Amino acid sequence: MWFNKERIRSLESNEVLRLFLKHKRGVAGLILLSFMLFIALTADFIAPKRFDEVDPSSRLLPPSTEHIFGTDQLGRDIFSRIVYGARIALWVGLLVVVVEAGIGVPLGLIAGYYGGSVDKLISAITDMLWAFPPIILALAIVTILGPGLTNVVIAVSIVSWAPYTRVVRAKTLSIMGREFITAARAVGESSLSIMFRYVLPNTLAPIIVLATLTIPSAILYTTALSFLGFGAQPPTPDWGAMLNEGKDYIFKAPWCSIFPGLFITLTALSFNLLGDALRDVLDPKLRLG
Amino acid sequence: MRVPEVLLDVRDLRICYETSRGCVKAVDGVSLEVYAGETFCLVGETGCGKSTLALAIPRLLPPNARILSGSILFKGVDLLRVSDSKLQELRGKEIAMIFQNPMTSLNPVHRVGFQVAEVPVTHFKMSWREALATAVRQLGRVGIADPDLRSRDYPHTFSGGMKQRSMIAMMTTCKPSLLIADEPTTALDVTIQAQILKLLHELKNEYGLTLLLITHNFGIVAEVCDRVGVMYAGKIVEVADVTEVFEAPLHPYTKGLIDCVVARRKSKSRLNQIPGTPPSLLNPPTGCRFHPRCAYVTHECVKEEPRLIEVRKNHLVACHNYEKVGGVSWSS
Amino acid sequence: MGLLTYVVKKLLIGIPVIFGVTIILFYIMYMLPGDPIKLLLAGERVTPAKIEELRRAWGLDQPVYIQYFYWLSHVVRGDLGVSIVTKEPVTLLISQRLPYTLALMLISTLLSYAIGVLSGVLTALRRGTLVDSVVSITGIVGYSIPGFWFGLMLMLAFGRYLQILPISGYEGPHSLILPALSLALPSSAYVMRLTRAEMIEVLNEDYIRTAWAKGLNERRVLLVHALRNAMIPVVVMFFLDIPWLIGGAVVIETLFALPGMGRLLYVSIIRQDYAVVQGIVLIITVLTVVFNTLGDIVVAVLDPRVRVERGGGV
Repeated sequence: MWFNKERIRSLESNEVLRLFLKHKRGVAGLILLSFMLFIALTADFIAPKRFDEVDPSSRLLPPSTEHIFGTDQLGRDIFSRIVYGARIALWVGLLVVVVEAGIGVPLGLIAGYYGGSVDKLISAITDMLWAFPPIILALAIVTILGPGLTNVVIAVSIVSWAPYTRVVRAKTLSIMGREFITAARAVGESSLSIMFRYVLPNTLAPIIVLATLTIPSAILYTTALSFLGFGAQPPTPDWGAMLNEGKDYIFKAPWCSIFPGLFITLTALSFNLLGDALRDVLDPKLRLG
Repeated sequence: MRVPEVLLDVRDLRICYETSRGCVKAVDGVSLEVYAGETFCLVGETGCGKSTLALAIPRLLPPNARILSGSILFKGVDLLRVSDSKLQELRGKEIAMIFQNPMTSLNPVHRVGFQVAEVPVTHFKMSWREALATAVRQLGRVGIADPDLRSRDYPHTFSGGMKQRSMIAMMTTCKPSLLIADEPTTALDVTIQAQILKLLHELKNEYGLTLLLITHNFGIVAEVCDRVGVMYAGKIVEVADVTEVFEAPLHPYTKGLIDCVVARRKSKSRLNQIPGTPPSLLNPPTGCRFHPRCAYVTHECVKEEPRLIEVRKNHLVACHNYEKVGGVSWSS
Repeated sequence: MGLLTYVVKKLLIGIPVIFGVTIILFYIMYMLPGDPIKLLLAGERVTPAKIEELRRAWGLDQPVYIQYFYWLSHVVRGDLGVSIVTKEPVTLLISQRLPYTLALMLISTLLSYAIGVLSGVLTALRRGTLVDSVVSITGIVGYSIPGFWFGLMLMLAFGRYLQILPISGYEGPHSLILPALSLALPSSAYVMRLTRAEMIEVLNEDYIRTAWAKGLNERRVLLVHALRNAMIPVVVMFFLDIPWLIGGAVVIETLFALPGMGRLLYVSIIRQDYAVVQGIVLIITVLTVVFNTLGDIVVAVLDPRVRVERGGGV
């Protein structure tokens, strides 16, 4: 960089907040996400019907004042299903990220901390996993485990923790040479304590950014698998499963397909906007993938 | 005495950087004349605006820099007002520039010979074959061993010193009138620094070019310069011949800098230093910008900014109390 | 270090990776419920003695790792088993479908890189302008849209309103247009983001300032010095993107009922035709490893530094 003076960012919360609030797209993402969270949390109150309430007399009705997003082939209110679906989408996104981080972060810490052959082995596994097409591998795993939302979550988590290992490993390597680590070793702190009490806190910023940016892909993967019929099973109001059912009526009742897809897009968009902003604020040099 | 020809004439130049916290005035009303054939040194601490001034000459300032006022006359042409295409003709051919960090100044994916050859191809419409041969010659001239072979290598196989030599080769193939060297040795090992300075000095004499050397190192000034301009906090505070600056500095800041060097040379006495730190360019001090650190400070210094005036022949200074400063020599 | 040494090294690294992939795959299939002999016989009625004979012939009475080598020896000879549904060799089934998938990927890749690189460079050069904001926001939105839903919307638009392109099945090369578009959308948004970021970073580099200082014209600075360097990670992405694209192809081919390998995989999973699933997953992962290795090699060709920095290590 020949002009941007190295921007040194302290993780002081008010400074981060100030920078974040100046980030228009980030704020837009946060507002959108808050909206999704709101409908997910208050689904019981805002949904006019239950998500599985079948009404044979009102099948495939177009959007109207009574059913603002129309009804599906079983006469279920699409708006209600979407509102309940928000719970599933957000829950699944969160769950996948927690599992991924749970696998990836410790491996990255260990690889970066011990280095040498341990690092080589973990890096080799990570690279090999990287070589698998995620959806294909997830499909293979779902083939073994059988269809279902839980199995999809497991499959997607198993195939996509590699970025966490890579990012945490790189960050750990850069921290290992610093004085406070040497100092901690000198006073006899255990390896485990150094890893979790000294190294981990310093890798939090990239982990937060990574988590925010992997939630949308987790949502896109799981909805894709549900769309193929391997994920959530009826009558679960999963947005991907709704699209799977709706696609057969794409010409007769396009609203069955339009709205679930729209909400997947909006949810993924909110996380992507938020994640970009967090990266700009917390760790501008972070490289993913 | 021969009247020296003015090659570069900077007049009342003001440049600021737009930042999130306001406008930083890096160059604030600088006027400067560089004569043809001389080596002019611009000296000052890091962040005093000397690099900004240097970059402004071939208009290579970063996008967040704003030129607020002033002109830069090169052979009578105002560089700040010529068209982009005219400027491109001048860059590399008439005005060349070498940068501080040779490690990042060469393009990593192109061969060194190619990068040098691009210059004559652009300016002399040479064929590539001819230009590459010129590049090899020039690389040899600047002291790259085995230039024929090394010109086909990529920059990452070169050491820092060799990279800076390659930069010099690139920037002197067209024998420019003005060579601006922005801290050309700062990033290099001390042993290599001297070699690079010597090379620049030789090329200057050989090609008859004018050298504008930017540095924070007074040692370099003593070795190669004809005239010196001292910058402090975006302003020129003193301009004089090199001997005059060393023997009778008139600005307290210049005197302080020289005392630092001399103290180190004597090595017995304890390290001299100028108290305090350079001011923020966001909110510079009132009056004379040096007054918070100055030993000669008076009420006038706080209130009124001193103008750069010629107090002796060819010796300009911006200080209200220069007579007092000049009276006390460092040697006493 | 020479380029050739680097290439050979990379190829040698690819081999153990493919081995690892086959081991993982073998275990996945080994763990599947059901008797492999019954799957192999694909419903044929034979005597128990015959089954025993087959079991020995296939080495199924041997320990797992021996079984793996039996299986591998068949795979190496191009024998991926027989489909229990169609009773055709898996190799034949795949070879019939593969061209459609490759064509689809080729078209969508060309599309996404053409759109992505052009808009990425444009936004980087016009950084901070209205054009930049509009294109960048479109990019983030495009990146957030599920490809299959976009495909569904294309089907709706073209099936219902603009009846100029086929929306289902394969009627000729033009049948690939809509699927390719759906596949290219998220990918092009990603390419754009990467190109823009790289271009902005490269434009800030010292050597770009050097290029200007040499007196080069804008075109030469941008093409020879900036774009050439900014494209290196984008080209890497091109090769690393292949696995994602294949994954997307499964969904998109299924949606558009294209007779490609992706749809075959989907159908085989539904029919529990494991031999076919195993064969396809194997082909895809081998393809992925090959493309990754190709990517490493192309990077080394484009970026002379890589041959040194990463040449020695794993």
